[in-house]
Amino acid sequence: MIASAIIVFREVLEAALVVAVILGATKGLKGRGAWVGWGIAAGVLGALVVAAFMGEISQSLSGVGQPIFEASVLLTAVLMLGWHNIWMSRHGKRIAAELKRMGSEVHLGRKSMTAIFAATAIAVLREGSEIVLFLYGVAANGAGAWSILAGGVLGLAGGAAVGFALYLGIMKIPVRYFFRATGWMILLLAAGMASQAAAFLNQADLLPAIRDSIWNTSWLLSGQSLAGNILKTLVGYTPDPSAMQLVFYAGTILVIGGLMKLAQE
Amino acid sequence: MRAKKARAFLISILAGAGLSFISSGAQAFSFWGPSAPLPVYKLDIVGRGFVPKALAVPAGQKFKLVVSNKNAAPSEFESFTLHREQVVTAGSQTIVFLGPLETGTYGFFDDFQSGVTGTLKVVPAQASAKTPSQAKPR
Repeated sequence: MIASAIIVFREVLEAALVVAVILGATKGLKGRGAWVGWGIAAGVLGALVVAAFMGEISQSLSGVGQPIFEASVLLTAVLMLGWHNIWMSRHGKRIAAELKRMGSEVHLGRKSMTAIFAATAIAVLREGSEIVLFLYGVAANGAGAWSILAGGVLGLAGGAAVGFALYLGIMKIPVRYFFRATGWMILLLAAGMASQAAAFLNQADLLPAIRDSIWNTSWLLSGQSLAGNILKTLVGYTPDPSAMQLVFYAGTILVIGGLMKLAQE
Repeated sequence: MRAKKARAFLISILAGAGLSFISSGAQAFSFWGPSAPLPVYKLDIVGRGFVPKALAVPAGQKFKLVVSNKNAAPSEFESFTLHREQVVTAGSQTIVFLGPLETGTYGFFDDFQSGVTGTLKVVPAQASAKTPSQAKPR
């Protein structure tokens, strides 16, 4: 049960942190709760489908289908988060002003909310499919249903609690800095995902590392620790990144950040 | 509208990059261009263990690790030091590209079975006997 609880906690935590940042960054947008909620539901459904077809995904593209799938999904999320951020840099001031004046919510176009929906669904789908595969394995190895269920519920509750705490923290940011702060959080989230995508493309032999382990800070903060895991999800922390990961990370910040500047009112 | 142009720009960059990778297919496109077939090493997951538990490979060259899962449950080949994380579904196999690596010992584990670990011992190329053709590093 403990093993199930730990792995479910780890995966739920990663998804919950992403959802918390997205939910925080969309403060003041009409219907955001519903869009994010449907995103979570779609992500859970997608996780079941992906887990069911993981064998086929993994065997496709000459046996490296899974890392390529991971990289594509991550890059799609980067695109969605970038889209949202650029949209927000155009409308953020207006939303902040409306919020300050009368605390009313602003109605944004359907398109920008679709990006929120998709980014949420992808985060849940990625971590969720791992949970499904893992729990399936535990069941196949003969663990009792109650022990799996208890471990799963415990892990889910723990991960969701940390995500909720982060959300409450984000909501405490003063209105004056709010959209600048959440914009940066989304930007770093996207950069971290891009860097992970680079690692998966290298794993599939589609992209060189250029150089492995440019530095190594695992003595300071291990990637396996809870703090290391949280920072990995939020800002893309890797103790020993490859040169290509750094290129993807910096490139994402420059491209999305540059477009945000361009789009500003 | 600048925002519209900006969006289109971003989409084309990222979508283009993503699609070109996917459509080019895994093997057809290698960043270093066509090259000699890579040496292949095999690793099995049998019950609660890796076979062999310690695998010796040569330093300084790329190789293919074929990980076969002999169990009825899914596994995930994972290593922090090797930066690899790949699902191996029940009764199937997956290809993990590795190297060129520096000499040393690298740990890996099954992320879906706690306590199932193994090591990759990377030894100087000469010491690791008959490796198929000294594939040049990059």
